[in-house]
Amino acid sequence: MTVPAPAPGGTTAALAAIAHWDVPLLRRTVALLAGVAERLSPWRARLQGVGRVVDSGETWCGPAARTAAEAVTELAAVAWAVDDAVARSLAAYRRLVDEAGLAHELAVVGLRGAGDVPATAGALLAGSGVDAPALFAAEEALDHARRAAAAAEEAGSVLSGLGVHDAFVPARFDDLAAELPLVGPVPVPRVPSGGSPADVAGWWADLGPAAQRAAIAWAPDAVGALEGVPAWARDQANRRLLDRALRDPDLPDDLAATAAVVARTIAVEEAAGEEVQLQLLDLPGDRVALGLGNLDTADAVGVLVPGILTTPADDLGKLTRHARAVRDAARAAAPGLAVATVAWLGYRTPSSLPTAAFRLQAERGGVALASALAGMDAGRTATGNGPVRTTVVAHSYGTVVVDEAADAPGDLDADAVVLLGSPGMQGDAGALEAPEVYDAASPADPVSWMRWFGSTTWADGFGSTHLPADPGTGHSEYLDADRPTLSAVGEVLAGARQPA
Amino acid sequence: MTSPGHPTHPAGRVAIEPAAVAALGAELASLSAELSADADLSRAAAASLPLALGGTAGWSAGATATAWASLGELLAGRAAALATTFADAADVYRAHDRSLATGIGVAGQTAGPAAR
Repeated sequence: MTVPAPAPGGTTAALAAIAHWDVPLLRRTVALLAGVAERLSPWRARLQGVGRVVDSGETWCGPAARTAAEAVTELAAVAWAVDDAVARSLAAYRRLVDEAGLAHELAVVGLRGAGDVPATAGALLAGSGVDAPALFAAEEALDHARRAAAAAEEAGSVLSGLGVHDAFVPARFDDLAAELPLVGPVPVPRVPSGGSPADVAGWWADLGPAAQRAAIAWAPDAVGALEGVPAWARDQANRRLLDRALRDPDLPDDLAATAAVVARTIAVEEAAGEEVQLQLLDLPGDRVALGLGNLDTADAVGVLVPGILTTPADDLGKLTRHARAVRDAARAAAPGLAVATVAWLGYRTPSSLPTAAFRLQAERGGVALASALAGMDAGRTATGNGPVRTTVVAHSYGTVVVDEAADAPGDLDADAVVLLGSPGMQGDAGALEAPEVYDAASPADPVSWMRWFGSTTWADGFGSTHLPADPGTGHSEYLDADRPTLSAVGEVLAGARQPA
Repeated sequence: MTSPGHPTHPAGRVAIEPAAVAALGAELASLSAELSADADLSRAAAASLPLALGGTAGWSAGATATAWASLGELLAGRAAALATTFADAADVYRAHDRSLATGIGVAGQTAGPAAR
């Protein structure tokens, strides 16, 4: 392969060559390359998903499976290195577009005003009194063209870590893999303590598979609670925490009791064939979130937010059964739809009726819920999965938590909100920032007409779509199997019920 | 049920769900096809860049896009090879199971009368 020589004929010829650059074509082409580069990250995330399934030993176990898992892991690691290098190459391509665009514009101006351009503008100014702005434009054009050439060079040179030299790529995959330091100590990445869920998701996606594993292994407490990290990784991190808690003889009794309940609930669900993802385990904060189904890949996700007097130790099993019932109802409404639900005890619920009269717990819970919803959305991006239909199913004081979540900065990351037995909301349905808002209330549920926290959700002025509820439905019975509300909530989750 | 090196693949245990492994193979095949398509796009870009810029910059930019395409093809090729491995594994286990079942059946028929 030979490099074409620069255009002969001096500065004017060089300017003419730049003026002939087809910048729109360049922009279109780099946009096409950007699409290729941007698809690589979700591609390798999906590949890692395959690797995790094989590595789990659940569907394939034995020496051949182990070798297969290692091969997929190796491919994912190489893909990460390629993704990283291609992203840097793309950044250089984008600079190329910017510099080439400027060079082209200036070259046209320079040629139009200066006629035959000498080697430098300085030389021209000294002699001829020709159009000075045009001369400066000409010199600037050449400068930007040099920068463009440097960017084009850099787009290739950043691939050298992959063994790419002068555009020659290693001939075989094994040769490419041999170029990369895939084996050896992996530095534990610093887990971000601030930043939005989207920032966290971006950070996670940029880590290689080995660094992701290192983060889970060495900082499970941070990774397990970090909104924006994919569900699979949070699950692995929180299970490590759970395992550690179960084996800690010095753990206070109440925390140990909660850990035992979480472990038992997971065991029961998994024995029944459920896929369980432990999304939060904050024993000191008495907060737990348990997912049923694959939150990273589900088409529809329901998040169940309970009301007062609900604790992980006493109520996780019941809330998880409700999550399963809602998930089953959604599957019945849309057979074939991949549905996941979360028993979300991500806030400390009021532990007595007097404390339930205040919004303090709801304010804290609202911030946590808004962040959790944003995190789930961002985490899916990090795993390369598309958008999900998210429904928040809130009960009683949980509806006040949703109220507060909608007040948190940014829009609520939910497609639908279902309010069951609400003790009243501050604003109307529109204030909840979700495109669809539903409610269920019953004459036999005194909480639903108490107006403790604002408007009744079943009043016409509130603006929600009413779901069916038997007149005899008690406050805690909306999701009972023999009530019509459950199947209606399932339809909402599945997107099979349209708002009025 | 643990082994020091790999807790999820303990020594001595062999198990497979052929349909699930075949599904993983299908996902790998899909990944391979998607990346192959993107490699084609990179190659098309490689042809356009020298036309857009000309000169050394155009050549250099085009050559790098060719490298992108080659890298994509290497990854896609490996994914395709793994996809085939997974699909073959599922088929082989199924065939072996059928063969064992047949063998056991024949042995049973042979052993049956002799036992009377």
